[in-house]
Amino acid sequence: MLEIRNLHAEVDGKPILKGIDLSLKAGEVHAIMGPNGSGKSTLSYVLAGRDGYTVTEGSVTYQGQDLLVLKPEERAAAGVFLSFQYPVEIPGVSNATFLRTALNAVRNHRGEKNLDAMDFLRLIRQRTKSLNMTDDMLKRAVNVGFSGGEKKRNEILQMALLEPTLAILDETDSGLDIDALRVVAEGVNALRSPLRSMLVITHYQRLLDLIVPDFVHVLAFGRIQRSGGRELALELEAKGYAEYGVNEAA
Amino acid sequence: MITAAQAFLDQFDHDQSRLPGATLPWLRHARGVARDRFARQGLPTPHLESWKYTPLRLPVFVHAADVPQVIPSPGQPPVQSPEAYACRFINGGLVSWPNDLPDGVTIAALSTHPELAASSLQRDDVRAMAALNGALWRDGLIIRLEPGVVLATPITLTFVTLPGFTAVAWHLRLVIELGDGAKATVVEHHIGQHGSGSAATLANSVADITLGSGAILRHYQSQHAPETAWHIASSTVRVGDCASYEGFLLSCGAGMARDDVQVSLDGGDATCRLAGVTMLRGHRHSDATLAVDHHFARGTSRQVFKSVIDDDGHAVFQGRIVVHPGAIKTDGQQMSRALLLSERAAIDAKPELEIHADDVKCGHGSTVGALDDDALFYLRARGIKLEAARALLIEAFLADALEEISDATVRDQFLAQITHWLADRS
Repeated sequence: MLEIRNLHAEVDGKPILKGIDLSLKAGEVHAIMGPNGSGKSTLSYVLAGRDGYTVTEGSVTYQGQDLLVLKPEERAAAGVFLSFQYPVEIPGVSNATFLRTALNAVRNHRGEKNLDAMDFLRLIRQRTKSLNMTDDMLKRAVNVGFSGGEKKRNEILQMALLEPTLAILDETDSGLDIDALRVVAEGVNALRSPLRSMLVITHYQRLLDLIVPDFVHVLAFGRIQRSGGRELALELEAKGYAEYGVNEAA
Repeated sequence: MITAAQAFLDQFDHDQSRLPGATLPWLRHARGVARDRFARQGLPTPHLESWKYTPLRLPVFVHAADVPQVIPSPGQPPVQSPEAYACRFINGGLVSWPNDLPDGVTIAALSTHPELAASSLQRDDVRAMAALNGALWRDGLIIRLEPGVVLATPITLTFVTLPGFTAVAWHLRLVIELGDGAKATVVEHHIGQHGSGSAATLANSVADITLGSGAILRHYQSQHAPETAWHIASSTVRVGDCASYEGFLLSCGAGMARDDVQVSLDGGDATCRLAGVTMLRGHRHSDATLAVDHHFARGTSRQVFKSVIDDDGHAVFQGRIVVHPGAIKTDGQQMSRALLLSERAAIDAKPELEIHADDVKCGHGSTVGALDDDALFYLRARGIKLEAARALLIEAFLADALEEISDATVRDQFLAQITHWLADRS
C-alpha cells in the first residue's frame, strides 16, 4: 500500500525529515508517536503534497506508483486523505457545497458520475447521523465558528464521504475533550477496513486506547527511532520521550 | 495636431444646429452652458483629485452616428428574460424599445422627446465628462413612473458596443424618474459584439435618477464591453424621503471603465445601497468613484465593493460619505476589499468620511489581500483541482457583495456571469 524509503525533506531550507523508512500494508493501522518538533506534521504534509515541503532524498510509493510526483488533488483522487491537525476555515463557502464539490471531484477522477443534490443529501444524512453532526453544520461556512470537536468531526465526515484507501490522521486528538475524542474515534473505527490503511499521528497515547493500532513507531529528530506493537505506546506513556534524548516539561 | 478635447468642441460647433432639440431655446441654452463648462475644464487629468488614479488619454473620436455602421447578423441575442420591457442601443443609438406599457409608465426616446426630461437636461453638472455629454448627447431614454405605479416586470437596457474601423464616441443620456411611492427595477447589460474592425470606442454616458417620496429603484448594471472600449458613466441619484435606491455594478469589461456615482439623500429616512464587483484581467482598468451625501436625518447608506484583479489589471475605489449639518442619526457604512491574483495587479482604494453632524454612526473598512494558501491546499487535499479551488475561493470572496442584490433572478444572472469569467481563466 505505502512504502516510504529513506525519506528526507526540508522546509525553508531546514532539514526536518532525515531518512524515514515505513511500510504499510492494506488494512493496517500504524501509529506514529513523537514529541513536538519531531517531524510528525511535516511527514503528513509531505505525503499530502503541500507546497514548501521539499523532498531532498528518498521515495514514497503508493499502490505501486510514485506518490511524490502527484499534485495534492491527484493524491486525494487516488485515495490519499489527510485529516488536518488544524482544519482550515473558509468563509463564504458552505460546508455542504465544499463536501459535494470534493466528493464529485474524487468521483469524477474514478470515472463515476456526479451525485445530484438529492443523492448527495441522502448520503450526507447517513454519514452525519453517526457522527452526531447537525444539518446546521452543513449550512455554515466550512469550519467557520466550529468548535474544536466540530472541526475534527467534520474532518472525519470528509473521510467517510471520500472513502480513501490511505488515511493520515494528523493529531486528530489535539484540542478534544474525552467525549469529543470518543465520538471521533468511533467515526474512525467505523471506517477501518481490510482495504484501508491508516497512519495515526499523535503525541499522546490516549487516542490509541480508542483507535487501537497494529504497529507503533516513535519519531524523533526526523527519524523513526523505534518500532513495535501496541505495548510501545504504553511504555511511552509511562516513561515519556526522555530516552530518545527529548526532555519535555509537559 | 488637434487634441481630443478640441475635437469634441469642434464637433459641437459643427453639429449644434442638427442635434436633437436644436429648435428648443432652453435646450440650445443648456447645451451651450455645458459646452462652455467643458471648454473651461477640458478633459479630466490626474491633477484633479477625483481622477488621480485614472489617467484618461483619449484619442480623437468621431461621433458614432456620423459613421455608417455595419450591423452584424444577430449572432447572439442579448441575454434577457422574455418577461422584461427591453430596450436596445447599438453604439449609443436607440434601436428598439417597448411600446405596450402599463398606465403610468413612460419609456421614450430623448432624441424625439427631450421636453419630457427638460429639468434633467437643463441641470448643470460640474463634472467635465458629464458636461461634455450635456453638450453633445444625441440619444437616450427617459423612463418615468407616475406616483404609486409599481412595475413588477424589470426594464432591461442592453447597450451593444460594435467596434469599427474608425474611433467613435457617443454621449448617451438616461433619465429615470419615479414618482412618490413608485417602484421599478432597471437592469443594464453593457456588452460587446464583433464589429467590422477593432478601433477604439468611447461610451460617455450620463444617468440622472430622481426618486420621489417612498419610491424604490433597483438598478443593476453589468459591464462587459470589449477591451477596445472606454466606458465612462457619470450618474446622479436623488433620493427623496423614505425612498430607497439600490445600485449594483458588475464591472468586468472595457479597457478603461469609470463609474462615477453621486447620490444625494434629499429627504429624511432615505436609503442608499451601492454594491459592486470588479473583475479585471489583461491590462484593464476600472474605477468606481462614489459619493453619498446625507442631507437629512436618519438616512442610511451602504457601500460594499469587492475587486478581483489578475494580470496587469488596475482597480480604483474611491468612496466618500458626507454627512451634512443636520443629518443626525445617519448610518453610513462603507467597505472595499480587493483580492490580487498576480504580482502586477493593483488597486488604489480611497475611503473618505466627512462628518459635519453629531449623533451619527459611520464606518469604513478597506483591505487588500491574496488568495489564502492554507485554504487552497485544504481544498486541493480534498481532490478539488487548483483552478476549481481558486474559483471557489474567489466566488466566496465575492459572495457578500452579490448578496446586496435583493432581486434573486438578477443575482443568479450576475453570479453566472462571474462563474463564466472565472472559467475563462487560462
